Amino acid sequence: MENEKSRILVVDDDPKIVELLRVNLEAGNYTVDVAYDGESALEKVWNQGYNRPDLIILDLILPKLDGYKVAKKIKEKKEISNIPIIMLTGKDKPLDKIEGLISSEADYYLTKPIDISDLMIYVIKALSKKNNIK
Amino acid sequence: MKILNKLSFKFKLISIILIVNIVISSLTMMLLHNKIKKTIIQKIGLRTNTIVNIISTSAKIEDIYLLFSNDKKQITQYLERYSKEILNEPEIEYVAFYGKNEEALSLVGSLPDKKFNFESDDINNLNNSTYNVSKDIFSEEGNIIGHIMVGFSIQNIDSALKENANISFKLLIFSFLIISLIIYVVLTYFLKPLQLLYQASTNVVNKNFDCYVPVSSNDEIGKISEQFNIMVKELKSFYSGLEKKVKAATSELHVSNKELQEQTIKLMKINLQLKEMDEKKSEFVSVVAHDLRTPLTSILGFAETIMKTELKLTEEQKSKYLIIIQQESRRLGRLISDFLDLSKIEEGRIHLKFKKVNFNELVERTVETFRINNNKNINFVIETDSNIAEINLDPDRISQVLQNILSNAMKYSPSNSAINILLKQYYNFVKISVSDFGMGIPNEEKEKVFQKFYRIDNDISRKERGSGLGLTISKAIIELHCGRIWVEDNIPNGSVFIFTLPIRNFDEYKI
Repeated sequence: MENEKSRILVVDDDPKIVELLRVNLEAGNYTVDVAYDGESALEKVWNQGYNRPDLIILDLILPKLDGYKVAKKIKEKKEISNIPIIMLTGKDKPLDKIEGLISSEADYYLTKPIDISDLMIYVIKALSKKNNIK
Repeated sequence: MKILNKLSFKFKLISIILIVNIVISSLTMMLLHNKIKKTIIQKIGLRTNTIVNIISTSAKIEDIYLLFSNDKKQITQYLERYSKEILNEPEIEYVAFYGKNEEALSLVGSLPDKKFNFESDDINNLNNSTYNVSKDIFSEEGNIIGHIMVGFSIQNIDSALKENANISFKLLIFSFLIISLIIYVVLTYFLKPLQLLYQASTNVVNKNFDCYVPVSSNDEIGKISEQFNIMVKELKSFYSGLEKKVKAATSELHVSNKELQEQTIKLMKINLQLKEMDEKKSEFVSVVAHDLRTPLTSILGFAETIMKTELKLTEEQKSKYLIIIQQESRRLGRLISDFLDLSKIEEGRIHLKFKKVNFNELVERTVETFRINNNKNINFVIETDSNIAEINLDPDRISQVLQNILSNAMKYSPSNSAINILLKQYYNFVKISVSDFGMGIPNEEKEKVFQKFYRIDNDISRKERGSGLGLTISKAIIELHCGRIWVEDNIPNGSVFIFTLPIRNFDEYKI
């Protein structure tokens, strides 16, 4: 592929989940960044300039700043609002989903546990959506 | 009519009596007046006739008439002189003598204008104030030799009668006043019981039944007063009975109303509790589902990852992921058993298996497992009284409590720090305290740490998270042992979890 690798930020406070996603995403030829809490996730998106992620996989229950707020803040800033967000969470109540998709404007809302192959399909979908907008 | 109704009975009675009195008296007076007048006039008639008779029959008159029958001048002269003597009487107005042929001989005094017919006036039918009496003058032989006319004034009689009437009227008025006064006094006296009755009935109307009307006579009013007193007595007892009943009914109503209110409040509280419980339950379910999903995601994810041949994982990576699968499975198991424990506790289905246990040994063995699995290099120090008694307890459950407390302490302890475990025996209980040098628990949170799913700080990463139920379960277990569990501050930093267990001789304790 002549295209440079897409960069994906994985945000989850459980290192095992982070490891799981990292291994699989790297195998899918993506560059993976990780963050273990909401604040550092925001920092990584905002401060990394040219290394900004092309996609964020975001857990909802996070230390310091929860996933809803992280998503909201990202979607509020014009420069980074086009980064697609996949929410990956154990919260499966309809209200949580509505809040994630509508209030926080996340692009996808997936509930744990999830098939890794299913997740990969969503990653490709989200990335192609972003590229189309470009 | 309305005004009449407003007047008092006394006034009405007096008025009626007076009016009747006035009518009767006036009629009587009028009749009397006329009768008196008639009598007097008749008496006057008799008297005047007598006087004229005396004059006409006097020898002197006869002599004058007969002696001077030829000399009219002489007759007139004598008759006039005689007439003037008679006229000295105040009531006689005039004296007139006429001859045999009705020719005037002597006219003395103020004569009336009308022509005489030589007849006396009817005394009962007088037209004017003068009463004319006429008599014939007879000779000794019985022949008429002349006529005499005398006028009597009855004006004085009239005025006298009028004066009389006036005095009578005054007397009448005076008598009316006297009668009115007497009636008033008498009525006041007789009506006094009525007045008292009135006052008493006013009292009764105002619900003051403590009134008694004195019975002073045996007449109708006295009887009424007596009956009234009896009536008031009856009314009083009836009313007080009624009042009591009403009071009782009201207080009953009040009580039942209050009960109803209390019931309502109770129901509201229960409803609120149910609602809270329902909310907590659904929250619990969602938290449980969430907490179970996290390890399950790792297990399924890594299993899938290992199976993907295209990833070309090294053996080292595969065994690392298998260890994660194992750990996460264990964690899942722990979570499930914690949830089960909690639901058992909440439904009261937990059964403790009591045994006589050497408490020292139990603590020692539990701590030992933590010493082995000690990645933070924590120094566990046990301090104990030399002779801790054997205690009746469920060793598995108490060990579970101790494990919960110790794993919490470990979680929050910095590396290379110490955790001190202190056992102490008191008169009828033992006390165990576990002190760490972690960040401690703020005062306002000290009660909350025993609540479900409570986590002191979100900063602790999820890999170290338990179910959030450990302390809740621990508290329930300790309380089932009739002990107490709480947390204090460790000095200078960290917290101390303390629980007590009673020393009792009970063989089988089942809840």
